[in-house]
Amino acid sequence: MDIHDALRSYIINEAFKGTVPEGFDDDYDLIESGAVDSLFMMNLITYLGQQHQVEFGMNDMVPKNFKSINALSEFSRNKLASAQ
Amino acid sequence: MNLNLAECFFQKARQQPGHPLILGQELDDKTSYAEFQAKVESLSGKLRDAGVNPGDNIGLHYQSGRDYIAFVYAIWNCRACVTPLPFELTATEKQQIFQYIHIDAAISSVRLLDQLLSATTTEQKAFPLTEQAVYLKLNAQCEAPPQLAGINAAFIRFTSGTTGDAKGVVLSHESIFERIHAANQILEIGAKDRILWLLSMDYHFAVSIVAYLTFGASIILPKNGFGITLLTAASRHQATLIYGSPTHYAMMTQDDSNASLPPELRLAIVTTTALHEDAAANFYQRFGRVLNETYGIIELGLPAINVSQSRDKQGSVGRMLPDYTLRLDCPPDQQQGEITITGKGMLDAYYSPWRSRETLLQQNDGWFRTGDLGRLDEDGFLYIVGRSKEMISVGGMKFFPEEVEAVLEKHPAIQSATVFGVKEKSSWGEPAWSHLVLKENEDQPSEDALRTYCKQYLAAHKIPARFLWVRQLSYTASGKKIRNPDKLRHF
Repeated sequence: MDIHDALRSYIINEAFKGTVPEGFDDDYDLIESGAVDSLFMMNLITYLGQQHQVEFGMNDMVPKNFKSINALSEFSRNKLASAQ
Repeated sequence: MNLNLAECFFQKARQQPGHPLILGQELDDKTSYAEFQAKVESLSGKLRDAGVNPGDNIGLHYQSGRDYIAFVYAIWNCRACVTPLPFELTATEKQQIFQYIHIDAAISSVRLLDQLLSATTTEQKAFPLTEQAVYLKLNAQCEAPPQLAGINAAFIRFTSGTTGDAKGVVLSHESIFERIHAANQILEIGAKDRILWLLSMDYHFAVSIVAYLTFGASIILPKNGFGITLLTAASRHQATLIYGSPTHYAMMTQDDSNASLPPELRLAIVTTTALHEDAAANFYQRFGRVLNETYGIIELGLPAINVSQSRDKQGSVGRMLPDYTLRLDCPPDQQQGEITITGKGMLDAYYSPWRSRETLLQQNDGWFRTGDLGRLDEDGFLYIVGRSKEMISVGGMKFFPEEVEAVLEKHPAIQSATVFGVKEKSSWGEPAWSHLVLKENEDQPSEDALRTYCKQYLAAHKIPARFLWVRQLSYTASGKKIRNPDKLRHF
């Protein structure tokens, strides 16, 4: 599965337990909505590291990289590309 | 009538009903002491209706936040006891808790209920407490030790331990009351204080959160863990204390906005794990403030807190609090040794096999053995130098992993490191191995290069026999390094 689709599936299942809020799409604001709280942020980092080999540095832990599914997948793709 | 910490909170709420207890991310997101008391009393009524009796042990499977605090106090108001069930644990880890500690029922987040039910069983329907929480009676998987009935238990905290020695630490209302008063001789928390809270309540509650509610402070709960969010919440609510882990302070330090810390801030407390000196230096450079380290262990509370604002004492956990006495059990001719402590608010017992406080103290002349190693400087400041259980012995020469890790973590290509002894059938005892995490954008140095580097700083027996690169290290849920090679993944 493409990393974008995998992330989408992970976030829907883990952050929203399968029931997405109204207006949810790939640009849905995960921070403003409260979906990315401290714990879920750590879960995301672990998930991306373990399942997709995306490594986060301290400088990557900024809101813009976690803002939406699109932002997360773009960040992940860039990280993977720069690691090759 | 026995002491009850819920009643201590109610007393404070009657004294200052309109004072804010919880402050959310936004300025208008406040819950007053009176509002919170009403919430606790309402939940207590629902719990009694659902069948909670005095002396029951209730598992709490809920995310940290204002509801978590309300559930703990509601359980206490029913004269029942709380066992945290951290929801980030795997089903297997939760099963271990149920097999070890008698748990009568649980309060669970609705959205996390499936996770709980994958670890235990119930024959009854869930009873709704709020829109997000349910209560359910469980099939207890073990009997409670009979001695537990003689204790006014508030918490039973399960810990798997870093060496696999499972423990349940029993804390009574009286012990927690003693330890918060002991800590407050130094912290001086009162109604003027607003504490930015950043930690998991499953692991940090008995000294901190209880102290805030008992002494009338306000708790700031930020929306998430991003550096800018934490700095904004601290400034917006004029935080006087921050209570966080090194990671939280690193997140604040790396924030690239111009956000600053509020001038009202008087303590930035670091707990959970040793502070890397670079992290402290970077924080100071960015904010002009030192970080205040503490020595906290569940069995004792917070016997030492470094409230010094001097950078000279960075790295120390401070002097012992007035209600605690320290004895270092140093081997002959050595300046460091095992930390043993006596003082107020010590654990009431280990759960199973039952070992009372009195038994534990009698085993060591009235002192509690922490298993940690420390040294004192000339001003009486305590420095933690390692865990005695993790001491490595090579050819009869002993050393502590922290010492080697500190050297490795100063290497320009290494982000973080753990060092541990590997039991081999050789005359050399336990050769040290290391797990290393590579810094971003750095090339992996060769083993020979690392050995050459280590030789500059370490005696030969301390240089790891193997350097293994891993993607990340493992930490306990409370943030301590796990020096267990089986739990790591190699490149």
